[in-house]
Amino acid sequence: MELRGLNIDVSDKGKAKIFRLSGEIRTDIYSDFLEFFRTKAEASNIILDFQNVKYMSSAGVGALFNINKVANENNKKLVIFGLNPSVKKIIELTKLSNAFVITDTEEEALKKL
Amino acid sequence: MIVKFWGVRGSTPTPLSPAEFQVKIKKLLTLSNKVDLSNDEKVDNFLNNLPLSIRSIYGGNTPCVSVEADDTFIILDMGSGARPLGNELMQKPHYQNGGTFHVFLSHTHWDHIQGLPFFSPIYNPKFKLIFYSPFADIKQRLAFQQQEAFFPAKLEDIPCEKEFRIIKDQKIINIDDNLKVEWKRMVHPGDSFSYKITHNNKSMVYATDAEFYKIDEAFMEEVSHLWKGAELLIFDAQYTPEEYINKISWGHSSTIMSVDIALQSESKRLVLFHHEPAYSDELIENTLSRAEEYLATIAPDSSLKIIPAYEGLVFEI
Repeated sequence: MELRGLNIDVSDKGKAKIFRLSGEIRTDIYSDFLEFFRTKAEASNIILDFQNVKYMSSAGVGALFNINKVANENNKKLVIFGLNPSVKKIIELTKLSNAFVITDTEEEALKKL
Repeated sequence: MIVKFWGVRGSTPTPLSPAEFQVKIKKLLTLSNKVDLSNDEKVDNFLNNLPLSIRSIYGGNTPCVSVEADDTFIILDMGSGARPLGNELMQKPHYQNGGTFHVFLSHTHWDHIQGLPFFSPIYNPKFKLIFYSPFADIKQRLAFQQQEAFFPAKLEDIPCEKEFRIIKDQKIINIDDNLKVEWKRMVHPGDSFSYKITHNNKSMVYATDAEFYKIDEAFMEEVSHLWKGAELLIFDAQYTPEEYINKISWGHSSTIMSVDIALQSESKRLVLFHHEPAYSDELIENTLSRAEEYLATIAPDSSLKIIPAYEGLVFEI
């Protein structure tokens, strides 16, 4: 799966689907990004591997917030791991860090489910 | 072009309360303790080095921005800031024999039109106002707020000359050889319109009441192309990001979203505009710091300048 500038590979692991993201989450892919993950968050636990996400705008944080909301409404979980320092800082600057479950590694992410 | 801000607050006029005024005075007095203020120069120097939130106010008037280009005078929105603008224009020798003002309204929500009945030139027949709008019923909308039930003087009875130009089928309006205005519909309940003004090949964009939510690639591309390289982008930055999350689809953007749009359109200066009425001057400065930090994180090499709008702010382009 590819959204402009962002590759997404999916695999099943235990109780979750792991989505490995690679590239950039820019403002102009907000709608497609949200729509893609909204349906996934309704159906299963989601782990997002951010190790290869080099850039995320504030729109990406907004999309993650909404995906997390959909997951919660459906009794599912969203866990994010492997944020690089600048992406981590962008989430912190929006003061929405507490809204997400964020871990450093995939193993820790799996334990949060 | 000379761009001047007369009203920068969103939603509703927000005068400083007596308690807020007293807090400012107290801070000022505390900071002045042991400072040498023995002459005017030293006082001015002391004041000029303080943050605007302490030495002055960002202002509580609702949106109104003037743009002067050669002999053409444009007014962007007529919120309550139109009242001080009108008063100043009436004092200018240039307008003693009347004049023409070109008015572009982003939309007709109260905070963008409520200053029209208090814009003093409309009570003088020597003046002419030309309203340009993509709304086909702009005349009826403005007349509605001056029905007798709401205001004593009807729009049709006020003495200035009025002309209404509907521009829904006209994307580019050439006001004169060197000055053109282009509009684009924004996402806002009931619609709003942004305006790009280009004079002698330099441009500025006025985009208030614009929510960049659920935008797709085509919209973003069109906006980026139209606004590309603007000297000045005046953009709706009403909310902090955390407040925005609870006010999605209210029709406004956040401070940090505005940085994204400025970067995407390669604008040179971003003016944070349409401040939330509940925000104190200190909070406006805090959101500026966060926007600057966001910019430094997301685009460390960018030369974009971010300026929070305040009444009296002037740019020469």
